[in-house]
Amino acid sequence: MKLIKSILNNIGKEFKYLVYSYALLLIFTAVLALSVWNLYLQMKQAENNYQEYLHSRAEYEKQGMDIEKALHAPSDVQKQENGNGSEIEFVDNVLKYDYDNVSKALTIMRANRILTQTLEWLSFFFFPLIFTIYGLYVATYDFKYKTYRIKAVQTAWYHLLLAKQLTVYLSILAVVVVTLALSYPVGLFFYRRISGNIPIHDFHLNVPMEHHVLWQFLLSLFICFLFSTLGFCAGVVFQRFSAPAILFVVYHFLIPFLGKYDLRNMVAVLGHKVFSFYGNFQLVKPVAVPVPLAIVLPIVFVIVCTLAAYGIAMKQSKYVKGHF
Amino acid sequence: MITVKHLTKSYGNHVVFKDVHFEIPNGKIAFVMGENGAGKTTLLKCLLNLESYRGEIRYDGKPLQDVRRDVHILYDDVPLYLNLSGYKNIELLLARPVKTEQIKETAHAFLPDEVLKAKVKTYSYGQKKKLGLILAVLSKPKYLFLDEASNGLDYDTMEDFRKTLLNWAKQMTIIATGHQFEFYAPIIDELFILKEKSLIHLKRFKEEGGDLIEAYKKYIK
Repeated sequence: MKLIKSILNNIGKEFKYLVYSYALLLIFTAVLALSVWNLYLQMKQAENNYQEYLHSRAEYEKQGMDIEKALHAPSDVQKQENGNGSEIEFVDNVLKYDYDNVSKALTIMRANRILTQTLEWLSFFFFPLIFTIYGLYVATYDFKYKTYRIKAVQTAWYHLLLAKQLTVYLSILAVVVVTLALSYPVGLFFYRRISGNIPIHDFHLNVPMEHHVLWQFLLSLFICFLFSTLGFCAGVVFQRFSAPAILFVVYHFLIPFLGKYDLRNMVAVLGHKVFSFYGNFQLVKPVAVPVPLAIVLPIVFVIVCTLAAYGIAMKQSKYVKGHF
Repeated sequence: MITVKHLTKSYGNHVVFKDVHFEIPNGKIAFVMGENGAGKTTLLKCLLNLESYRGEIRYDGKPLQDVRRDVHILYDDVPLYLNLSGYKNIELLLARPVKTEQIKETAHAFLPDEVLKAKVKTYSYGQKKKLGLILAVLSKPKYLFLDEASNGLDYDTMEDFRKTLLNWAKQMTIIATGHQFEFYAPIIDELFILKEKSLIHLKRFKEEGGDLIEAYKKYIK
């Protein structure tokens, strides 16, 4: 009971700090802005696809081709690898191809796809980056200001760490849920706006909902918690922000997957199981890992990281010198 | 009473102090004296569990974890959130909740309202020290630790602080370290000297005139 009271009290203070320092607002604004940007890009993509379609249709009409027949025929796309590794598409029926692209772009903008598209866009590139840095920040701001020296007298060290770690998870949950809640009306607004420019009822394409949005939401949270734990533990062990942040940015942007057990590869395995990637974001093809292993190994990683960080922290001096 | 038994602290092969025993009675001001590097701050760190150590430390028979809310420390460099206002620092760094009116009443005795509303990064060293004092007053600890806490205070604040300490000592156990002997000499009850890895308790310090400079020359130099 005393432990729970102490941790709840510290969680309250952590939240207050994150609000007072605008850190939470900054994270939320960044995530929401990225989400709105994605929805806007989808709308622009649909508009561009429609312009392409109109252009092809005009060409077909100019050449006296049967439009209805072309639209009922398959588009027959063949992909061929270029010498430099890129792919070239050979399209037999351009009009049908452009029609399908408009239909696909409109389909993923529908109300029932907004959450999926938002999670798909954010979860694999932005969430790992943002929430690793966030976890690192929460772990280290008291080192920066040397306030650990006061807090570690008032509260047992592991209560403080546990409160910080739980604050990271709870605040991430709040950021993701509120972002989704606000992205939904924004997505509807963009869909309504494009409905005024494109005769949406002329474009029919049945893109099946292959995965339930609940699983997508849970995977997104899993990714957020995984990478925020990585950042948090690095912050606790190194007691500073800059060096681990630089290391992670290098890992995230510059270093290719370090084999099939690289966290990013296992996340990609899970990503392809739960998302279809019809939208702006295309997830890299991972090296195959059995799905149960791709779930269990990151969980084990989180637990081992946390225990190791707490163990190291217990042995470190709490009389921190203050650095960032 | 703070009771310390068999206290040993070392960093690798370097022993800071070994098998130290001492007691500080309630309602007294104890001063720990020693050369730079003798381990004064390390001793405070051990008493506050900020460092690992061997031995036993008890606060009225209880371990630190049972009395944490009754313990407060004032550091020389006053750790504060520089990016937040004085008021927000008070709110976040107090161990127990205190009513806003009480915070304002106490705080205004040290710093004006407009200063307390400003971000701490705009504060002078003295203003940060005063904010540290506000935190100590509002914490109402039973055990107060002062790590070179009187450094950087102006004359008036120092005089006020000395009177405050004397007043606090009626209800608190105060342990101070530092080099400002003139400040502490008139108010301390117990003197401890850290020398050659051990702690000497000068029991007849008051009877011998209570001169810290003399004690320093005699036992440390």
